[in-house]
Amino acid sequence: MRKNKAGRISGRALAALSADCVVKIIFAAVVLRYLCLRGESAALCWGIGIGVACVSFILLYVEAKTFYHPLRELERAAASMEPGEAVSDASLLERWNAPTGSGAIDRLIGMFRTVIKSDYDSRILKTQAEIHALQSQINPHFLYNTLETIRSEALTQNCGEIAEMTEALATLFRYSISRPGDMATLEQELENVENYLLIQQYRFPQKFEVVKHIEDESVLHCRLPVLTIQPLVENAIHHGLETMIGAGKITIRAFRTQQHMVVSVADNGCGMPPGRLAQVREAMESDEDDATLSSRDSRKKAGIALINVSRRIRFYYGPEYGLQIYSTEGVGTTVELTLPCNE
Amino acid sequence: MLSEKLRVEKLYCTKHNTKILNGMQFCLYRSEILGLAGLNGSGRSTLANILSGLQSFDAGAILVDGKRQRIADVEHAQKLGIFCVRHQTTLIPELSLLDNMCMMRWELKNALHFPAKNLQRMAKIVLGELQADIPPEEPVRRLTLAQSHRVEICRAYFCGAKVLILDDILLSYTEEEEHRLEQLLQRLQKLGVSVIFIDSRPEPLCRVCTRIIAMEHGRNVGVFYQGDFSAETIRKVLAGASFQVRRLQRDASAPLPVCLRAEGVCTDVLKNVDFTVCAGETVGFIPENTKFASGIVELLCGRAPLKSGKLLLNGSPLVTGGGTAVMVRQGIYFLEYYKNCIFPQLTVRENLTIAALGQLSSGPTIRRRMERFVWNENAKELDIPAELMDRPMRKADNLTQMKVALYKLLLAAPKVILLNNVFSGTDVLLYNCICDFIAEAERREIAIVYTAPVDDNVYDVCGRVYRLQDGQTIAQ
Repeated sequence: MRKNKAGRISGRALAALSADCVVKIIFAAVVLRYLCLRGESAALCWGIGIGVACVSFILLYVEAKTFYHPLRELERAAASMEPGEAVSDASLLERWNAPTGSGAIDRLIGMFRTVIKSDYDSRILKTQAEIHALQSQINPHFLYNTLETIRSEALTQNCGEIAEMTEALATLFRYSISRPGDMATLEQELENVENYLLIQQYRFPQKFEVVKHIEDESVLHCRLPVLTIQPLVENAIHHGLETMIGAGKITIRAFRTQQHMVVSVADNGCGMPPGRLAQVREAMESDEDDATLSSRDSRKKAGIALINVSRRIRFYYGPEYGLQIYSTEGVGTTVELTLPCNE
Repeated sequence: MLSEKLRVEKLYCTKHNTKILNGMQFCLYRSEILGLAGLNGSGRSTLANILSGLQSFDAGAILVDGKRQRIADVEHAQKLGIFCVRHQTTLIPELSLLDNMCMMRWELKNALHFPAKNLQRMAKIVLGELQADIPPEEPVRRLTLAQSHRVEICRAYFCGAKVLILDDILLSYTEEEEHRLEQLLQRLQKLGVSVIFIDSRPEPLCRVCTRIIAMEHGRNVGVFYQGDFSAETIRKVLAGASFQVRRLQRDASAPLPVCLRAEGVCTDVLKNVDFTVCAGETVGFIPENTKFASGIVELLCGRAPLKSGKLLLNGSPLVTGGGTAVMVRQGIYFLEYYKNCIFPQLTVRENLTIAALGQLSSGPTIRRRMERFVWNENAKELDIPAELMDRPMRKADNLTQMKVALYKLLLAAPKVILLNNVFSGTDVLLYNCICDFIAEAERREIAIVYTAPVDDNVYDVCGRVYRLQDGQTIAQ
């Protein structure tokens, strides 16, 4: 139906052009006839007639180029987009790149491009999440059962610490594997962080202390994408405190305003050099995909987690939300996350 | 739950082709004292000017109580509840404290008398509520700078301030005055007023602020919450982790001859002051109040004539009261605010040449080879990049301006340098620059007299200190 309508539009344009052509030919004939009737010489009549015909054809060509061709191109571009069809074809986006010369149409096309790009991105993110989940869920029940067996055995052998670690690990896996793409409350996110920290505290005993400041209990009920806070804490330990001499401190702070929820994760670790910080900030604001980011600087992966979290937040809530990162070499790093407050 | 009072989103501002604000963004919550720390020239005062309606911005957004606002002028800012107090007070000295308090209230437009009795009564209540500790009938001209600032703050609250900006007002506060201001801010905080507190030194910010934002090159480079910050941390963020505040080291070598000697000196302010300053020594004065500090400055600047006593420079009596030019000819140079001691339109090179004219000129001509030598030597010593040498001083950063202002003095080969309140409003980099200058002057055996209304840095930078009371030296 849509195709037919589109066809009618271009058909009507073609008919209009043809009519115009006929009018011009009739006009040339009338001029020729008039000159003949006036008794002008045949050469002059033919000359003027041919001249008028040439001008008419040139005008016709210009009209066709100006009106008919862009319309036909637009129709072709529109016709290539079928309802329900996957819009992963980059050539479609390419085709929509060329400006039509009309501001309104260009704006419309721009809007379409944004929607298509957003849809395309969402599909990629979703697919990635599903692939990750599938890769991780090779056999989650087997994994959970094994961990539970280890825990039971540890308890039987009076190894409380191993049992505690195994339980934390199983809970951590359940949280990260079983609910990709879900939303969680801040309370659930912080519980997940607790489990992660419990394992890390065994791995790096006395290496760091964690301080939590929750200004208002109601902030704990605010919802955010799952696995948002844990990567920030992991980043603080891995890149901030792990290589630092002496014990460090991680401060997790959360508060809310009427519209926003703010979560900050600060460490007093080794911080980032200004060049690296600028790279991370640039990557957080760009739309490059993970593969490009990873391959561009594979040796320095510091900040990949931040970039991923930032992109997810911006994708879910829009460009006005996301991460702010502040870092000074030798002083530490603070990551501040601002989200809309949805309970 | 915190309530968002003010939100600044990616603010950009360019002045003279220089980016002053470069994407600054922050939130200010109700009842919060937010500190803005930064080196001189980081854009804090420009931000204060924009928020208080004195200056416009190029891009970005300002949201007051969640609504996007384009602050047109100071009146508009005040209608929105944003007030700014700067170092230069805006009170009218001829009027009383109460008159000054009442003059900005909107009720004034329809009042038959100024100030209306009910307004006066309300102003007195506000002064009592804030415990300003200043008599309401006191004429403003009798108030100290710190008291004037407190009155301005009370006036802002009286006029409905919801956001109060304090732009570097602590420049010449005593410890006691700082303490009183901090108490006043805490009272305002309890009353729901949000404060943006701008200061060059991290210490006062750390004492009173609930959150500190560090600014650099017009954008925020760090955010620190109460309990997470210390003056040392803020200093490291601003000046780099390896930054150390300079401590002047002096070895106990044999004392040099006395360069400047005062015996029973009396002026309009000073009464029987004795002191000596040796060559290559820095001597400070701790006055009982600012009047006596200015007494020493007036004397050594040539503005106050000697009434009795002796003032000897290298054993010869000094001509006093003839003005600064006379003192400069005798070898006593004076530096107060560094920006007043440079020629902003001229280049760094030209500024240095003017300072060294005595050495460079023989008659009407300048010895070019000598001039080049002076440029090259000083550029190396001052660590000024070659490309900056030919740029106008007004385009140079504050550190370069300070270096040139100080080292111009050395080029002029003085006998005594009088430094008055030079540390006021300086950040950590400028502080170190002044300390380096003092060390270099001492090495060149130049005597330095340091005066300041407050004794913050006197013991850190001076080898010897005189205490003044009632215009007399009472202790050394």
